[in-house]
Amino acid sequence: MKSIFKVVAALAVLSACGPLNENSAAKGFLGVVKARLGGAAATGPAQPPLSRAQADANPGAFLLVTAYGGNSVASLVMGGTNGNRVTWLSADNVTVTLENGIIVATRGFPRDLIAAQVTGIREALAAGGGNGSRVHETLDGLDQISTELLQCSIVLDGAENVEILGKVTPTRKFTESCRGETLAFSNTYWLSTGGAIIKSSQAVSPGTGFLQLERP
Amino acid sequence: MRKRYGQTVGYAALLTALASGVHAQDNGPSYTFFGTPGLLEMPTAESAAPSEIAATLSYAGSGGYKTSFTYQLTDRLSGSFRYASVDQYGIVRPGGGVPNTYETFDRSFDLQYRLTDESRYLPAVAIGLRDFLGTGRFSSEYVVGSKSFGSNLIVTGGIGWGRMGTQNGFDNPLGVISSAFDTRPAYVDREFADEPGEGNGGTIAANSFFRGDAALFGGLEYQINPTLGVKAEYSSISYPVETFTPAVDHESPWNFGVTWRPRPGTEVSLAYLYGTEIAATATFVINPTDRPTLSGLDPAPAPVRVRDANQRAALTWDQAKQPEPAVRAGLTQLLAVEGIDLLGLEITDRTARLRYQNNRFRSEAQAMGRAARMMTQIIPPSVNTFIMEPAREGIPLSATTLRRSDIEALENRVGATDALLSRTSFGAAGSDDGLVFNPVDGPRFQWGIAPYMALILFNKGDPISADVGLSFDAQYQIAPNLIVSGRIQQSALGEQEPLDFFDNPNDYVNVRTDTAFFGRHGGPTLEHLTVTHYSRPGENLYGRITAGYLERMYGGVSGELLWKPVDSRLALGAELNYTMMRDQDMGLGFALYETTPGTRDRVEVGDYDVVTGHLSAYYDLGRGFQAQLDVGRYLAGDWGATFALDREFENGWKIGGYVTLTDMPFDDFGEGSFDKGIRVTIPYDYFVGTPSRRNVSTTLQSLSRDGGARLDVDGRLYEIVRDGHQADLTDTWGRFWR
Repeated sequence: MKSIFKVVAALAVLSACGPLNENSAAKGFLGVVKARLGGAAATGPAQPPLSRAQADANPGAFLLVTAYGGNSVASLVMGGTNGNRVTWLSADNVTVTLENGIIVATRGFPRDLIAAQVTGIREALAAGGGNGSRVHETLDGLDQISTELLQCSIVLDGAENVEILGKVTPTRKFTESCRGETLAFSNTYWLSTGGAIIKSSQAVSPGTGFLQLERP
Repeated sequence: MRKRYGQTVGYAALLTALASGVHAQDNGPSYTFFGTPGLLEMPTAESAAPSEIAATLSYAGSGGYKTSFTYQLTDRLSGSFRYASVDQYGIVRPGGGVPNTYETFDRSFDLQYRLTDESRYLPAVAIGLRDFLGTGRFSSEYVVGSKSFGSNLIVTGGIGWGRMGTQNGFDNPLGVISSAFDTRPAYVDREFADEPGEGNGGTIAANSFFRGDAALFGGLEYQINPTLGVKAEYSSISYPVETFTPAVDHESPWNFGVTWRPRPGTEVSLAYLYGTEIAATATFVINPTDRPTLSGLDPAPAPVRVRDANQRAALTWDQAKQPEPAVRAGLTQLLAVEGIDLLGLEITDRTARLRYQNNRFRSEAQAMGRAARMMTQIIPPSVNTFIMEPAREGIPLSATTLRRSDIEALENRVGATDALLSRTSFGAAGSDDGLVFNPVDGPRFQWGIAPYMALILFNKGDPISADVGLSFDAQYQIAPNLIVSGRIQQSALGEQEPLDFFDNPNDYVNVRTDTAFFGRHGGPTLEHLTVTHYSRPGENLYGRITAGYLERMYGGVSGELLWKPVDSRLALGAELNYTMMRDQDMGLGFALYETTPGTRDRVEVGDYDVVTGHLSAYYDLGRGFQAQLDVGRYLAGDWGATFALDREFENGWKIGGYVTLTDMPFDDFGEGSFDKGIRVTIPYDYFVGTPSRRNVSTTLQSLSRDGGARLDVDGRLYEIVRDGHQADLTDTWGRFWR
């Protein structure tokens, strides 16, 4: 038996190669190990992949998304429009779909928000507070749609200056508290004096957590 | 935006999961040395969570090794399979004292059914059979009740028969029903049986169930904190010195243990057993319904491109603006991004029909969603109907009709999954007429070199060992439905002794047991080299012909025909094979060898060829259960039938079992009496996360022998065809939008 384990160890160093082995167990496994090791090694928040100059040169063209508690930041550009919904996409295949600044879908995260219906949330923000409701759909471990109904209340949390890529903007801060049968979370929104959501922290799903969105 | 799902759990915890309500005892039952939920050797009435699979390794000084798998088949019913290596007593002779012991290997099956749930005042009650199908060394039946007090203490008591009726046993209370319950037929080991056929095991020993003396058992389990628990039991197995029974140093019925569960799904325990020895177990639990990679790590799909009002109003395809070759070339490139081959495309003013082959996604529904999104990017705006024809091995499987306006309207909408499904129709794939086929850009050659590891189970004296080495794969696609494929392996272990499974003294050719001699010479082995042609001779008919070196032991020709309508739960198949046994060096030759008694030399004695074939019925029972019945002729020339039942999960896991009964007498079959086994299929994407069509399949046979043996040919039609049919598409329809 000893010799077998020596050989296994030797073979493990050899990576599978050739087109037939894409997605092979060996590669997939090594990929997972690498991802795990890479993830563990990462320290500190990632740097924003966008400069103030770039942002100013293309006003409104970018959405900065911070995920996984600050470990990952990406600059997204507009990828498609469907009615009042805009899908933003990143260079490495993540998309976030917003309806008037509120997340209604994501793709490319471990537990995506497959779809959301947000009723009265944006109106309550505009009105300085109020109630709304949400329906969130996610995909469970058996590839079935799982639906969560949430009741939400939005309250004004006062004024705050928000800095995005070095530019400071005065905002009003709102907190949205949502509660459903199996899920509860609080989202935060920072609205400019013109009423635009320039920064927010919004729940996607258990498993993905919150995304922080910024409009530079 | 790098995806580090290893890290996500911590951040996700910020979203409060309200439903968890986890109590100390809700981390599920702990496991016995037999790998079943329970105390140390005694069961409790607890059940694991539905669909959970527990793998338990246990060791005790004189109790030996046991490897067990327990599967919670339904909320109430669980089944276990166990492989044990134990010392047992030889023949006990009057006045002969304690006989010598020798090592033996034993396979056994258990069942437990929870009859009632625990209520405020009443315990949960379960009934169980332990080792009811093996050789019977541990055969017991029991009824057990368990009641929790508070959230940390569970008290268990029960009554056992058979081996579990040996500690302070008393006359069977069932004797009041019938005196037949008073005595239990004696267990006979096949190696020492007086009559041929005795003690082969494998048959259900129903004539001994609940017979003979009974005894009481009981115990406590206390959970000190979420990770640490203690157990104590009074075991009703006394391990008496009897012929061919486990030789355990038993001085006390009291067993004590500590369990440590550092994280969900992992349990390690230490125990003091029989008043004589320390024992250890490790249990790993996995639940197919609980995917560690959550919804998967698929890259995001392209957003749907929505037409404006003017485009939508168009009734004709402006071919000057969007000529067909340009559209097809563009779509081919877009689909390639998703790992999808465009085979053929038909565009008319209002309809586009796409025939494609998905090489990336396990879920054909997901591939279809991705393909439809890509079609919205480039298909002329006057087209409002998409007909999606998924193909496999070049053969179109079905036609799914989608409305482009639905895809536009439902993107990212709550309820879109059900809404789209209800507006979608499934039918048979259309003909080739009208399709413009993409030229196959030259015969496609693919190759790969990878390390392999093949587990070898049940080799005598070495219950689990492995062969490792390098494998070289090559595939040459002459046409999408005509494929040459081969694999050569080189073991890194050099020349090896033949596997030592068992002797096979019967008149049948050793059609499977000779596998012990195959590919053990240390040189390269040709695992298979085949040419396969797939066809669709009728609307609901599919055909396959495979020729060449079909598998490790046989070469020849295999033909198959399958009838399977797109929306049918029933499929019917017929398979006919003419094969010859290959030379045991696994080169190009064909030969039959026999082992010379005494010297154990292998001598070539000629050839073995055989015609085998089956008529098959496949039925989707619903609720995730799939049944299959095959009737026909097997490799040894025996006639019979195989029945298989699988629990299939929508995420690609399959867990099932099968039995084969043929006209080969149980005596000739040998230990186990007939072929039966458990099989598991695990999809790659469950663990790896990124989309993949691959999976790992394993069959745990109680014993692989010569009766009921089938040809192991690749590419059988049913699994290929059903992927693109309505039931399977519907199962994973949730992935359409992902």
